[in-house]
Amino acid sequence: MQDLWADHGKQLEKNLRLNEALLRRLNLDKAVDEFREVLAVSVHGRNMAFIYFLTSSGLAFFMKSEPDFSITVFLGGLCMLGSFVYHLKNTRKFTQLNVYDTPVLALQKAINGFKISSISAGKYDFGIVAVWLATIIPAMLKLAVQKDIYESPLHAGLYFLAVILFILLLYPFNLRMYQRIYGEKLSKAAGLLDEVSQFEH
Amino acid sequence: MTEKKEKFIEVLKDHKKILFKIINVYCRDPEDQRDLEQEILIQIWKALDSFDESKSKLSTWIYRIALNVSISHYRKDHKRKERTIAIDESILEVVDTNGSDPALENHISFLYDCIRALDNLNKAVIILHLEGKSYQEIGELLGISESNAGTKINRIRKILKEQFKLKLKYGII
Repeated sequence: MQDLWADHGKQLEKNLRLNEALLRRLNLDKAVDEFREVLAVSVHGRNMAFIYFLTSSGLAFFMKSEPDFSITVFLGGLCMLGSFVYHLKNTRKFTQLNVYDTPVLALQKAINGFKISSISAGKYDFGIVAVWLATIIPAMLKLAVQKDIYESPLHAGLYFLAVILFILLLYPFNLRMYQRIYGEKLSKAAGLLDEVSQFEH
Repeated sequence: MTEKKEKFIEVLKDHKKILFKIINVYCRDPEDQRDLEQEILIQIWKALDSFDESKSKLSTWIYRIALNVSISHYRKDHKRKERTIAIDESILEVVDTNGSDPALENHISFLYDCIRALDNLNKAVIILHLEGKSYQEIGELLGISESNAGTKINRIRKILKEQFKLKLKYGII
């Protein structure tokens, strides 16, 4: 068996070649992989924002005879539309990017740009989701159980107090989540690209 | 070209055979082989700066990285498959197979199949043994005692011998 293994080794000595050109793509693929994972999260969020906008618009139309609900719901939907447009712009340039034709440094710059814009959008995204929920829940309650919280100032006050508490409680978690998704993962991708850059120069 | 890059390519050139053998033992599917190959090369590249010649031989260091990655790669294989981008080419390419002996190819292919059937640790043990490593070196590399390495090798050799005998008996090879 050892002779057989040694003969195999001799044969490999003659036939085995190292594809140096392909070595460049190694870390790049890992980096791109990390980046695409984050981009997919962002694209998913963006698409959901559009679905939420459509939901709000549909509901506003359905409740057009009750302006208290329809106007607030539609305003919440418009906030979602704004978020969708912002993220469409932010993700579009990356979904269309040919990573293998882009110089490593340019790609690094693009990833860092995406990271910064996504993290800074985090607080607005959270605010938009909170506004959307705050506007849609009363409409849903009205539709489902015929409960009009705007009827009683006490109920309306309690409801908006609950919304504010919800925002205050969840805001730190939201920040941490954005930091984890966009901060850590994209930093890892940029770090891997840094290794490629070292390898190329 | 940086010093690190030169060193990296040199290391790969000197050890391409053993890397090829380890990858082929741990993965049969070409796509998995390319994935494992990438993983090993990335780990070598990352660890190259910390390699200390005074502490171990370069070949021993390469064996350790390649075997450790192969064993852990096998464990994480399912998870990785979902997220790794496939590369259609391989860095370790077999070229110009004209003139190779078909009988030898057949025997080698059977030997690979027999080794692949072993568990992960035994695969590593037999590769190192076939590469001519002593029981002591095998023990040190895999974190087992010298006597344990010897016992394992004798057991594996017996299994492989039986399988070769059976194949010869039924005229398959």
